[in-house]
Amino acid sequence: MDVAGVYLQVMRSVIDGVRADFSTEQLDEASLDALAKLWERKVLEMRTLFKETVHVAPENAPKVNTRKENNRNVPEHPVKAKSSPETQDGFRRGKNHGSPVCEADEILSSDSDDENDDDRSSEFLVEDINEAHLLVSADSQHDEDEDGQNLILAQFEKVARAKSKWKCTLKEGTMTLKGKDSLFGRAGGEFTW
Amino acid sequence: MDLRSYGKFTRTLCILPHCLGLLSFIIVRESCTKPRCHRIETKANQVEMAYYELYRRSTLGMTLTDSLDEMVTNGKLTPTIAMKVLAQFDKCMNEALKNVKTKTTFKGDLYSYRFCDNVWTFVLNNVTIDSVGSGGHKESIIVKSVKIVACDGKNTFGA
Repeated sequence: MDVAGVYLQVMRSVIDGVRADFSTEQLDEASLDALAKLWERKVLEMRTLFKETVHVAPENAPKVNTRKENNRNVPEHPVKAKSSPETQDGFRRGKNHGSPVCEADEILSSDSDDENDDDRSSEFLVEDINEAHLLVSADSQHDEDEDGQNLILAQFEKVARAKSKWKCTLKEGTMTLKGKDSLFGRAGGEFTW
Repeated sequence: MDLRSYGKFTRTLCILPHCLGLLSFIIVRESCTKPRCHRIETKANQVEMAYYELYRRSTLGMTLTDSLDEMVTNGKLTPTIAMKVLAQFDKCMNEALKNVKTKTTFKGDLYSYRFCDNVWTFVLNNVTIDSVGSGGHKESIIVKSVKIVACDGKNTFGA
């Protein structure tokens, strides 16, 4: 499921949406860019996007498959990212090279295929995601069962109970389960109390 | 003062101010904590939408809140603009989630439930969660414990 894609879309629309408010408040574009970068960095640091097979295809970036044979292509990406101008933020960069978030996901998810390949992960150091990436390759999160609190935020349509059997219908929800994010449009649940 | 020695009417009169005080407290509390998702009539009589703020507790929302807090602390942003950004986030997140096509089911044991201020909060144990994506991609997760927070989705004003 394309969680990273939805996140990117939300981030872009938020930044675009507040651009007008920023100019009203007489704050410059640099602050907006700084916010966008900081937000992006924090989302990557949360490490809730990896372990997903993400097929994010920004406009001009090559479509990257998250299989093992792709690892040969991936070392090219750090070269591309480093050559991009320092001043552009992640979103604008997306038009030419693929945003760091997309690259990060492609790299991170291909890395998760090669769990034993800690050496190779050191080649994939893209400028914005150095720290997050080192954390990903080194940790043993794959072995942990639960990471923090598992949380689902949604809207309920129907909650019903018959004796000790509960049934509910939810919609438009976001889930953080075992350190991984996912989304749903509709959900049904049956629980016993 | 022993109230029992007075008649019923007098006793009611004595209790009434306390009830009114309690009532006003409840009314104030009700308006403060109700989840906001309703039409707001502005001065120009234009209708503005307020969206649920519950997604601010998601990963994306928390990271945005942290980023905004950091920048406000550093003085790079004003609190006013930070609030506007969060309001924009609420709108964009709600709109984006309307387009997600994944269907999920969960089954498990209900440990606790709460329905307060039109918000359901469940804590579930030993839950199996199955997801089917729009591309037919299936996924199954089992977790020991999960918390579900759900606002009222029945009366939202459609896009």
